[in-house]
Amino acid sequence: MVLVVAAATVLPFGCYSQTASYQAMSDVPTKIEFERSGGFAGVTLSVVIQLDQLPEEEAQHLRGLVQNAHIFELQSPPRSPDQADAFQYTLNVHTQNNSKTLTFDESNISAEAKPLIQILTKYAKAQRRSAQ
Amino acid sequence: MNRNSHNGRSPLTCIVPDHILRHLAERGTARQKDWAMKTLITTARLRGHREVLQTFAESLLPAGEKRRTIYDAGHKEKLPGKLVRGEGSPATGDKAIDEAYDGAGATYDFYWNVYKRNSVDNKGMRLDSSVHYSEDYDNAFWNGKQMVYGDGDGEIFDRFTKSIDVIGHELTHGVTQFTARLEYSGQSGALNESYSDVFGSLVKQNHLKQTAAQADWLIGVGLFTPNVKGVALRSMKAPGTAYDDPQLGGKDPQPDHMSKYVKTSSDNGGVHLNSGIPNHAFYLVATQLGGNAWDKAGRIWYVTLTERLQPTSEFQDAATLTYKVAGELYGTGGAEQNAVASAWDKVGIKVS
Repeated sequence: MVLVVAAATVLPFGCYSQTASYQAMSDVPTKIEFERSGGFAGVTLSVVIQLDQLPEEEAQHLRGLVQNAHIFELQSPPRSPDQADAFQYTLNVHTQNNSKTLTFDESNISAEAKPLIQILTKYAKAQRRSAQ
Repeated sequence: MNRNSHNGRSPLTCIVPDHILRHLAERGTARQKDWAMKTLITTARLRGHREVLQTFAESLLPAGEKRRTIYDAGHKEKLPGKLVRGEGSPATGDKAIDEAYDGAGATYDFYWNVYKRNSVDNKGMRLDSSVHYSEDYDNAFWNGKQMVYGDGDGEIFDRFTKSIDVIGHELTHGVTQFTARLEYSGQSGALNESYSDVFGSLVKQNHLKQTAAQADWLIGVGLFTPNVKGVALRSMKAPGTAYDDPQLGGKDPQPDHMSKYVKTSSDNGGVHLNSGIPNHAFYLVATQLGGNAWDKAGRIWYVTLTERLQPTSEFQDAATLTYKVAGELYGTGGAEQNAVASAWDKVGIKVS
């Protein structure tokens, strides 16, 4: 099931122009699947975002964050040793003909990917709120 | 002065290497300790070695005396944050700071009074905690060196210091790190989680002076806000029944039997889910034996964790080893060993 969230209240806009630098239409992200699992509570938080179903400004902002995070060039980092109860983040970004899955734990998210993870967490929480 | 030219030796004595001085400072006779400490602190002052001073400070403290420091992360993610309360200093009035301090104290006292364990490393390691970590942060974790607590998001979760078993749980990750070193994924990860729940619950039961029959066997009571339909995060008595709320994706997903083992790549292979199986086994042993759960059931589990389990141990290993340890501690074929075998059998694991 695909759930689309309109969460205008959580969005700090301001990166609209960045999608202009995608090389080709086929490189532009179309769908993002996001999951936060683990943590002490072990409660999973997730959301699937179809970018073409979001208001254009939100979609542009997310495309910019995906690009800044260099998702398609990254590899999942090794798990941090001796850490327990940290959140595990799984991110699956789709383009027209490609997709990439990455897994992080909260201590090894790259600085570039962090804003994307943060905003996806907000989308997932907005969806959780709507499940009330 | 070229530090390397001393090859790790103290420049003053130039005879006894630092590691031997440290050993003497920790384990020597009273006279040796005194001499070794003086030498270490003098050379530390000369060379500015903080690490040596740390060893010195630890060895000065008699076993059984705890050292706690609480930091305020100020809603940022930089650790540890600002020092706000040290050992022996009065309550601050900030609930998270004071609960982290009291909970770390109750956990230290539990391990010392019941199992004669001197802090997580059994060498009197200082217990550091950071509170008010990040924003709307609905988690608590052990980062390999210290505990970290969030204030919750206020929607689903309240602050994570609210429940004493959470504090016992996090510190037990430290104990596991210094003993069995159970790898944090799959079955060994679920065992790691289960040991933290078991001893977290025992810290609470010990603090409340409850017998196995009186205890609620719940993990994280009080962490949910009133918006959530649930009594706690996990139930050792009845895994899978702690909550049922659409905001949390429905029902508590913990299994209570091997036939319901969850295969997943999330949560490092379901370490917080499948821990329900060994959690329930412990509950069954403790309630079968009666009395205080930390006395017999807890001791069997403690010896198994600290002396027998290996980093890649799985549920079957934990079952076999707790069974052996029960026989060694309380007699082969006795009520304790039979209770262990019967408990594992009820969760779908045979021991012999």
